[in-house]
Amino acid sequence: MGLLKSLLLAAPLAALQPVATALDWQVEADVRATLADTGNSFLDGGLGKFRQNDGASLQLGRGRIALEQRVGDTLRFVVDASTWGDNGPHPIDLTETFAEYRSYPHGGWRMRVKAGAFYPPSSLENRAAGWRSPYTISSSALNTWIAEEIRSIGAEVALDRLASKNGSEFDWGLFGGVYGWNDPAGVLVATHGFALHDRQTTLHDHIGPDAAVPVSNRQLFYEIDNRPGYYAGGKLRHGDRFELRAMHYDNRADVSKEKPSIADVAWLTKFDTAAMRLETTGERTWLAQWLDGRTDAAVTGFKLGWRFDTWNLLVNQRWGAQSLSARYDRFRMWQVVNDFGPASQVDRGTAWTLAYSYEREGAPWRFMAEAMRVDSWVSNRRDLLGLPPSAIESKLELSLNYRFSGQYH
Amino acid sequence: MRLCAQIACRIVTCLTLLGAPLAIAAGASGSVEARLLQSDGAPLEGAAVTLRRLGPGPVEAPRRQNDAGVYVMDQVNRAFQPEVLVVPTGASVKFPNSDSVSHQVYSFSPAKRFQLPLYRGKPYSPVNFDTPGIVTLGCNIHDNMIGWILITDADWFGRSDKDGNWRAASLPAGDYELSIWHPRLREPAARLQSKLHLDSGETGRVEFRASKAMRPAPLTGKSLEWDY
Repeated sequence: MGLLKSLLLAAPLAALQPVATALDWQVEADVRATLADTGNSFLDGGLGKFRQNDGASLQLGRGRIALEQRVGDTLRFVVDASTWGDNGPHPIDLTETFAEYRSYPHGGWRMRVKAGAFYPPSSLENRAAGWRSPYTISSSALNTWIAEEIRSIGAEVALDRLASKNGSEFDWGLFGGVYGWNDPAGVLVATHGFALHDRQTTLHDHIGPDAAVPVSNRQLFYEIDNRPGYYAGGKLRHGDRFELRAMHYDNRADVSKEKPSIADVAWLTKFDTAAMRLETTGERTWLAQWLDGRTDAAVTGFKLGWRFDTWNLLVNQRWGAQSLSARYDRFRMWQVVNDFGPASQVDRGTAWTLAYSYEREGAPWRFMAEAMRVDSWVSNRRDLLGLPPSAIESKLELSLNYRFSGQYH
Repeated sequence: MRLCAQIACRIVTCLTLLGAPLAIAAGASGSVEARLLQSDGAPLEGAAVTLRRLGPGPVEAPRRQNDAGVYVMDQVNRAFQPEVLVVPTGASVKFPNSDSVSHQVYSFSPAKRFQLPLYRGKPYSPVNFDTPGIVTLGCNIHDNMIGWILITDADWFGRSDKDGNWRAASLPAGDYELSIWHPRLREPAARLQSKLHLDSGETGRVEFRASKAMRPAPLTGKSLEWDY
């Protein structure tokens, strides 16, 4: 009796073996000094394509705290929150938060399931922690738009084929997501066109001051029509040198629905995007990205639609702690009223960006300098602000970032 | 001792001393020198080389005498180090993780399927490899990472050095088979093996030159740092 009882008691106790856990944390802050020749930013009642207004400014670029809790080998929980040094409604707010299950590969196949609020995996540019581009301060026009308006608040499933561990030269994968709370997506690009900066919209953010024109108090992450959206795509990787991604996004919004509490309607937004990254010996990276999309909304009885596309090309060269990037962006957008009639161009432009960064291995400091020149034509500058539609905006932005991180386990 | 006996003693000692190395030479004094080259003539560094004695008769495997038994596959700067590790069947390999981040090492190769989480700074038990074959290693957090462990039951094994050379010494006479393996070589299997015969005390030389260019080496440096 004694032995049997001991064995019966021991069994559940053995099952309660402690699961290995680890908590990784990162805290960082960066200070920005900017000299800009522009109008008022779209963030401040204007149609400037930068974060900053005209003139010289010294501001907090970004303060960020991120936590990643691993539970066992296959589960992790992530919280990523930032503050942008402007007048958001909350001192600090989430950019992403999710749980991810990642199986160990079996026979070369691996499955991942993610649930929460996160960026869909379309970008090959925003590869650093916190969805930051390691190459430049400001993202391309393409990914600046994603950062402003797109988040998957739902679940994503991904299947990876890790054939490189089976002797093949290629890895590939498929992914798909179902989400809600992205019905206002499209309102910002329709209102202010493309922009180039690094300010991501947080989950409870208000973009634009009260009573400003044209962007005033926009809130992005709401469910308006009780209809989920989806995205689906694939990726291909050749060794560690070449990667290709493609994705289709459709928020399946019902344009007849509205939400007066945020003074907005549901915007039906769809886009296709593809990106390619090539790493060459001599520490050089080539990056090409493209997006073609549309957004439709019913505003005061009119069915309005916007068609937009953008592409960019970046080359980055590294020497030890130093890195130099050059990027060319091109973007354009048209508006259509009631689905017929000629489309009228409302935004078009090109941008040149040159960025230098210095970051030593293991050091907590990172310095980045970015020069940008945007040559654009925006009809709303004339129609809403009485300004000339054509503008050449330029800026020099210096960033000094300090970060520290650690792990508990 | 009387002078005659002393001289005789010295002569016998000298003869004995002279005789000993001759006796060793007669047993196992052969060697094999392999020189491995890429298709363009550049040295092929880091290739796994194994040498098997086919006969005649059994021979005491030297590795059982000399094997320190400690094999290490480290993780440094988000890469496996060494890229290729050659171990004898039955060896245990330690995975220390000298990196600044955690890794989750796995293999689904038939020769050894395993999963090993490596939290930074925590020690883990070594993994035992008891089936000959090639094991491809990956990291479940960093998909870029790839490494290999070649488990061999050959008696002599190692990796070519930076000049593409590998050497085995103290070999008895007999028939031998030399095999070469490298993850980035694109060669038909027949070219990766050569047979040679060693007479007593002979040095056999094998030169291998790849017929096709190798696949590009893995990247090092900052591009690996980001995983998105």
